[in-house]
Parts: sequence; structure tokens; C-alpha cells
Amino acid sequence: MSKLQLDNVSYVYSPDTPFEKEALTDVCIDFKENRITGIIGHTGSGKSTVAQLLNGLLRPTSGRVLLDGKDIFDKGSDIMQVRFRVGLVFQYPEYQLFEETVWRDIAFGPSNMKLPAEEIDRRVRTAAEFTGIDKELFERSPFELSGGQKRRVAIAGIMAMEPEIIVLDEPAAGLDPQGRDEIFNGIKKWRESHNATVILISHSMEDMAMYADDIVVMNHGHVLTHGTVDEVFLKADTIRESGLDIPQITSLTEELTRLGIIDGSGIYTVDMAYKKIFEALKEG
Amino acid sequence: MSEFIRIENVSFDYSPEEIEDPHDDVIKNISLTIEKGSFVTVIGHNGSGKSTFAKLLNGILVPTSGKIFVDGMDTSDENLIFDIRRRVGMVFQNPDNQIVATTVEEDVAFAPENLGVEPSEIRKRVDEALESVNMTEYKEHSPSQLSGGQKQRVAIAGIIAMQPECIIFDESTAMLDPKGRREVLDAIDRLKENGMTVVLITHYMNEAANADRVIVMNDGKIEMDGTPREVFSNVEKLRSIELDVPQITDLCHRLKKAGINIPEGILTEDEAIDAIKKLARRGKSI
Repeated sequence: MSKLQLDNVSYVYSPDTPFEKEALTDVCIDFKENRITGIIGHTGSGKSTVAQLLNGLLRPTSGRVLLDGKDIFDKGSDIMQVRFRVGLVFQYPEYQLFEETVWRDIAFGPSNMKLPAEEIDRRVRTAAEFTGIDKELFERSPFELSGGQKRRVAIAGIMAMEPEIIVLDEPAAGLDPQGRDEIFNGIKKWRESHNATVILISHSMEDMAMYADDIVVMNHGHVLTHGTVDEVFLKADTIRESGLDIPQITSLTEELTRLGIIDGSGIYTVDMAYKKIFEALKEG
Repeated sequence: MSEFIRIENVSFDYSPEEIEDPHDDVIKNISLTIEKGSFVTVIGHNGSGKSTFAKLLNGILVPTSGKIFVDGMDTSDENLIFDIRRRVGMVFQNPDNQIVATTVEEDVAFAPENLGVEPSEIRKRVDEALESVNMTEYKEHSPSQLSGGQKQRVAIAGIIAMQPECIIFDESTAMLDPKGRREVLDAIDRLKENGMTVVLITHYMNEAANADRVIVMNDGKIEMDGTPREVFSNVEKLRSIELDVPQITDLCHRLKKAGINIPEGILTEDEAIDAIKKLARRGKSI
């Protein structure tokens, strides 16, 4: 079922000025409920513009953003409520921490929702658990933490609002492999326990292959392709066309298929490739 | 090759002297040398000490104990620090924190101006530096309008214009998209071809594949030190210190473990295809 929809959305930055730039042109995307959808595209493809449209930070120049079928900018729609329901984690969110303690920073969102004190505390603790923040850090200043820990605090701050949809713009950028896996696994678990819908913005096909259910590929303000991970990786040429790197493993198995050694297009994990190649070499 | 940087029994600790405790050391008694003209990659997970190590190499930090010599000059000698930094330049992680001027060429001219280089010589150096990172066509642009990869290349040009003998890249590709990363890595390859000593700090394993030497850091110590093939043959050991190996290396390692006769430490797609092609042709790999 469609949870959040971009219906024929175009967006123009600085209209009627010399800097006018059309960032999105007639974009239609259905984000399905309870799934992790990855939006992928190179720098300038429009993916971050999409993120900001999804919770009404930007207003479409034309077209509509539909949350549960309702236009978020309809008369009578409360945009504040929309933002509680669609949480947005910006790129490098650790630069936005500001409170005196970790606990207060995570509690900022739920406090604005005017929830009872015990409920706020419960939410802060739950969010901290999913992002792997030890409760011993609660009374520390967020500025004393390492970059990776700050990132987790920032993500926990959005999770604590318990939005129905969480949009994360490059949540793993700049983290080492372990930090990246921890963040993504935390998001995955959080989605399962909260029945939430997750939208991940990334330029890493490898990460999307590991963590997304669906993928939207964007290029020059258009949707190039949208489908399940399996469907999208069958279109390696389309991905390449958009200037993205396809995972090493996909390009290797494509070449081996071309050479007639294996039969395997649309392979995107080491596991899948291992099975195919092992079979081929073993039989010989 | 001759020795350029010598590191002797170096430890480093961020806490002030009076509360010093060897358990807090971020760098723990490291000794090694870096050869002139070599391309060395330092990898390690966050907190392994690799950025601290980088900052010790040009005297941004000085060792708590032990000594570092750059071309024979002691980094803890304040009288030598400018000479050392002129020889060892550094490109940092964040492309937005390193630009000082309002146009690309002025930014690149900043270091040679500070060194008191003749204006005609500055002109020449700036043009050459921009050419070597493929940014000549942007020389009159404002840096604020460049992409991350372009900004990093301007930062590299700014260091090149100082004519150092060694450039340290402290996770300079971590904040870039794949295209930007490729642009910066291409620029690094060209530096290497021109004989520059390059130290690349990264946590992207595939960036280590092109190096002459890979140093793996863990918990402030050197865990492994060798050619990329030697280091990446130890898949389990790398995993045990929370590092990833490139997908291709991982795949070949698993095939090897399953009894397929494929070499260890394969790093690139071409190597893997060659090896698998041979096995398939031979028809009996087990």
C-alpha cells in the first residue's frame, strides 16, 4: 500500500531569478508502507530535494505530496503534524546537536510534541537503544562524543518522535564499515518494531543492495527506474547511465556471464555471486 | 628509495601531562619509516589512531614520547616546524573547511604567497597546480559553487603550489560521492607518477588497492604492514579488527575456503576475472 506519494511533482529553486534551476521534473514516486526504499542518484540528481519535499520543508512548484492519500499542503492540513509523522534526518545531522546533555537533545522532538514526561523518557530510552547509545552517556554533553556517537544521538532524536515514516539523508556518510553496519541495522530493527516506513537517501549501491527492499534511481531530476532491489539490479546499464557505480560484484558477475562462465545477471551480493561461481567451477 | 620520514618509538596521548597514563595512549610505541616517492595507505576503523598518526607526520601534533624525523628534521623542534610543513602538506576530510579565498586561483596562491614566493613564480605554480588536478577551467570560479570533489582538488592544488615533497590525505575522500572520490583518486595517482610521496589515510579498502604499501592500524598500534596483496590475504584478521575487505577479495576468499584453487589476496575485478577464467578453462578446479 502506498504510504507517501509524490504525485507529478516539479520543483524549481529560485524561480524568476538568474539562478533559476529546475531540480525535479514531473516526479511520481509511491513509497510503500513498511518497506525500506532507497533513493539513489549522483550529486545533483535531485535526491535531497525529494527528501525535503517529503515532510513539507519545501513546497512543490507543481504537483502534490500525498501522505496516506491526503495532500500535505491541503487547506486544513497541519504541517507541524505532518512533520511529526514524517521524520527527516539531514545529512551530517551531528552538526545540528545543540542541547546541554545527550538526553535533552534526544528529548527535544518529543518535548515539542507536548507528551507527558514519562512518555518522553520512555521514548528517549527506546530510541537510544536502537541507535546503540549507552544510557551512561545521557548526562554527557553531546559535544564530548565522537563523530559516530553524535550521529547516533541525532538519529535517535528523530526516532524518539516515533514518526510513521523516517527519511534519512546519507545516514552512514563518512562512517567506517562497522559504524555503517550498526547504523543501518539499528534503522532496520527500529522499522520492524515500529511498523514504520523508511526512506534512505544514498549514493552507495552497495549499501542499498544490503539494506533496501525497493530502490528508486534518480538522474537529472527524473526517476530513471523504481522497483524491488532484484528488479533494479537487473538494469545495471541503466544504473551506469545515471553516472552511478554499480557494485564490484555486479560488474564482475556480468562480465563472467558475458564470457559464458556463469549465468547470472542481476547479482548484487557476495553471497549470490559465490553460489553462482562455486556451482560453475565445481561442475567443471 | 631513500628514507623520507622516520618514526622512532612514538607514543601519543591527548590528555594533559599531569594526568598522563600510558593506558590512554592513542598511539602506542610505533616505529617505522616511509620511503621517498612511495604511496602508503593507512587503514583502520574509527578510533584506531590513524588520523592522530597523520597529524604527527607534519608536526600538527608532536609525540608525547619518541621522535619523528622528516627528511632528518625533528618535528618537536619549533624552529624547524615551518620547514617541515612546507615539505609535508596535508589535505583534510571536509571540503568546506579548507578554502580561504574567493576565487579558485587565489585560494591556490595562498600558500606560496605566505612563503614569500615571487609573483611571477606564483603565477606559474598556480597554473601548473590547477592543471595537474584538472581544474584549470574553474580558475576564476568561486569555490563556494564547486562540488565536493572539485573543492578537494582545489585544496590539493593549494598544497601542490607549495611544492612539498610529501602530501598526506587525511580521509580526504570520506565526504565525497563516488564521482568526486574518483576525481580525487585520479589526482592522487598523477601525484604519485610525478614522484610525490603520498600517505593516504582512509577506511575505504579499495583505495588501498593501488598503494605500494598498506599499513593497518588498530588500537594505536600497527597491526599489519605490507603490500596490498599481503595485507588483503588476511581476510579473517582484517575482520577481527572491524575492517571490511573489498567485495571481490571477500568473494575469492570464500571460493578458496570452499576448496576452489584460486589465489588469495585478489583485489581487482580484472584479477578475479582472469583467475576464474583460467579455472573454468582448466575444467577441473577442485
